[in-house]
Amino acid sequence: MIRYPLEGVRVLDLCQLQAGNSANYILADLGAEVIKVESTQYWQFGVRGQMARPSKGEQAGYFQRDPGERPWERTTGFHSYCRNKLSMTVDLKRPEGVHIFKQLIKVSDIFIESNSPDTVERLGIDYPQLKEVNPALIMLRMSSYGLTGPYRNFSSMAQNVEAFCGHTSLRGYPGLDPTFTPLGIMADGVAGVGVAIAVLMALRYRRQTGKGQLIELAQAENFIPMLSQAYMDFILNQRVQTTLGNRHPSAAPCGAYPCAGDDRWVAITVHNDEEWSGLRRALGDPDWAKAPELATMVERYREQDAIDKHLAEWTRGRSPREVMELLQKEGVPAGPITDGRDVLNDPHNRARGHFQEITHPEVGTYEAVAIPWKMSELELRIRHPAPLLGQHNEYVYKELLGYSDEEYTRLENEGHIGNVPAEHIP
Amino acid sequence: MEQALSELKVLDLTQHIAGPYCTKLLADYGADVIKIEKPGEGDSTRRMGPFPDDIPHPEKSGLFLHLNTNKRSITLNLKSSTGRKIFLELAKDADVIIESFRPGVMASFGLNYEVVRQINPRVIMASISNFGQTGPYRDYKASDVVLSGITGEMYSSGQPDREPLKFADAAIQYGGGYLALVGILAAVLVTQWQGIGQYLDLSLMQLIETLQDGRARASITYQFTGDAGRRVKNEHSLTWPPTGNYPCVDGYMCWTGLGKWRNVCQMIGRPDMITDPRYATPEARRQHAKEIQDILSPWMMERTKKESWAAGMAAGVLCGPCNTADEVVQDPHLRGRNFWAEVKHPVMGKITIPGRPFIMSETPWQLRRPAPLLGEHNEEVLSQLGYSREDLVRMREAGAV
Repeated sequence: MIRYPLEGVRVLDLCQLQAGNSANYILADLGAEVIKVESTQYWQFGVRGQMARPSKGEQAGYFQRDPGERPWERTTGFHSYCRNKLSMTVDLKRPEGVHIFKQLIKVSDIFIESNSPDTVERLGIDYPQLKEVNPALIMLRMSSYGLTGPYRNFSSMAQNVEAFCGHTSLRGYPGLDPTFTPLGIMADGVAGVGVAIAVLMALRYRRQTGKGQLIELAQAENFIPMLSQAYMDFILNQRVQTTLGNRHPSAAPCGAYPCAGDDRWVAITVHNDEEWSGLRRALGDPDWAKAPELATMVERYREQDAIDKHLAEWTRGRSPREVMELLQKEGVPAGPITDGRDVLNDPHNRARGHFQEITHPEVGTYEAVAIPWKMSELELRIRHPAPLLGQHNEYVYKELLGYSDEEYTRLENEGHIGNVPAEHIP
Repeated sequence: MEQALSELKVLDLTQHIAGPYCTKLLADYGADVIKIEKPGEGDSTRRMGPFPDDIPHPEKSGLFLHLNTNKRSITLNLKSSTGRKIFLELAKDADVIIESFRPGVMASFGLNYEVVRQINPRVIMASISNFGQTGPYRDYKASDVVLSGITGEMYSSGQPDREPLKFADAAIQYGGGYLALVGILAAVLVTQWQGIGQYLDLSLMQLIETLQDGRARASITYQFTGDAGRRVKNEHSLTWPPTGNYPCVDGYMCWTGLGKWRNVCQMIGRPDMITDPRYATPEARRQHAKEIQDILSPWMMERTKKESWAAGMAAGVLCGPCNTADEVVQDPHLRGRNFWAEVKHPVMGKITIPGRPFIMSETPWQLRRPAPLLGEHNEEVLSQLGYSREDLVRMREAGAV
């Protein structure tokens, strides 16, 4: 029987916000035992929501738009990026907490943290200290701008990193200034992917040599290669690119077109003459498309404002799905611009088993996004839903660390072990 | 220095962006990647800019030069029996084969997984395609905006009264290639630890839908709250000002005031506003949003990006400058960290490209060689298989290489 790729690998997750959590989400999906190191004594920002006890008015993102009695068990983000993980609690701000954590390091393979760089240094759980405890440890530190340099301690969220990387200036609506540009969060998602990749590579090397290592991922540096065309244009031509919106540097028409219904849109791109002929066929070869001044790609690129107007008139009477089918039949790239409901109901997603039902004690049964890597020898399944706060304390303290029942009770009384954030946390 | 993927042999049949970015990372971290290109034509990115002075040249594409570092290039016509034979000889000794043809193309070459497995049972073969090898969209065509649109999130991005807005350039395709690499490396570990090869069906649509940039969450949010993700006005700019992109002396700053009202007040020298009932709660701030903006704007318009960033960081308010591409390339922090890499290329001379996405202390990212010329390593690779120079001439004349 083939085992999960990371079965037997234990990961400690001390991550705030989305980027770090999404790294551990991937490792947990691949079969690692990921333990979220949480606390009832302080609030880890953006893990189980922004606050432990939000006001009733703060409904966005909560199950049934209601923070309820246990808001920390009800945010969509946590359910999305913490499935398959375990949860333990400990207070790392006290020496005994750090001692407990180091014991855990001894029996773990990987430690991932996404705090501002001085946090783990202050807590005394930086790589040099932990390496003494576990020489084969793979430690991954992800911060916005890395562990060295003038921006070292500059903390941020994805949109700030993306602004720094130039994504904001490359992304907006043509003709509108950046105040109209949406705040991106791609840097978060791909930071998690980069961390997972680094860990997988380090595991291969450790298997060969027995050696662990320290990996540093600066979220800005991880994201910059994904916008390389703009930088290469500056490097090669000293040209500073600005936004193309939904357009393409060389294909036309290309963009988002309005469809029948309320705020419905379809995406269409014509890359070449063959696809242009396909578009003409699908539209019944209207007079405007026959115009000789649209015969070549260069001309169409120049005339794309006019083409867009005609094309929008045609899409406006049709559903996104109808446009996709009519155009794809003629070999033209097109697809609906989908919202959360469309993605859930998409027939292709359904046919490929893109969702998996899971059940959680606080929010009940829902369909989670399935694990996307389709392997011929093994179907990767979500093994359990996101953990309740401190749900696996008994497992961690008693089974992994060998604490007695008495010690466990003492740590409970002292506020290390628990499943409700302390009263003083807002 | 040793690299993480040293001695991993990869045959790379991918083209465009997602697949080559995936194999670039394998190569940059040590794998021996042989890029197999179509004779006379090569990878499509050889024809995509930016080019120096905008003059197209198959060895001068800035995009190609970035995406293909550390790889060797050979040309093979996989439709010819000689090309197919050479491919299978290479496959015999490969650890990983990655292809990104449209579904069915590898089978039409007679080179699907079943065939390859016969000669190399431990091989990993991965197909990266837009929609995967099964399902109703299997044979559909995609583009950057189509992939962005069909995977969610784009719908939620932008102004409520305007069209949805995708991510810039081809960013989402890089993201897809990055996610594909996770599956491939997981399979590499399965081979290393369990001795089993296998086939991977990697759909960019499906991979991108799991990205934690809001996409993976959208379908859960819909189930939990009924909110399908319609574009809305930036609420946080009212309840947690400043949140969003705001003008300053020399451009724009991206502010994230979320949860930081106290720090914002201290930053602008107005601690009185922390407890002032007109501003103390998110709801109160929403009601007095214009007043607050009138207080914030002059403070912002007196400062450069650099000064604003320093002030924000000193006060604990999250922010970052809206840089343009030139500012990113010239940024002193990135320069000081040696992020940008320089490589000597036979046609281009010395060029700068983006460097490592992450730093591994024991097994570093390395630039061992620049992106290859088309077919640059034909002789080197084929002679290792035992072909003579005369064989090579004959094969070239027959159009096989």
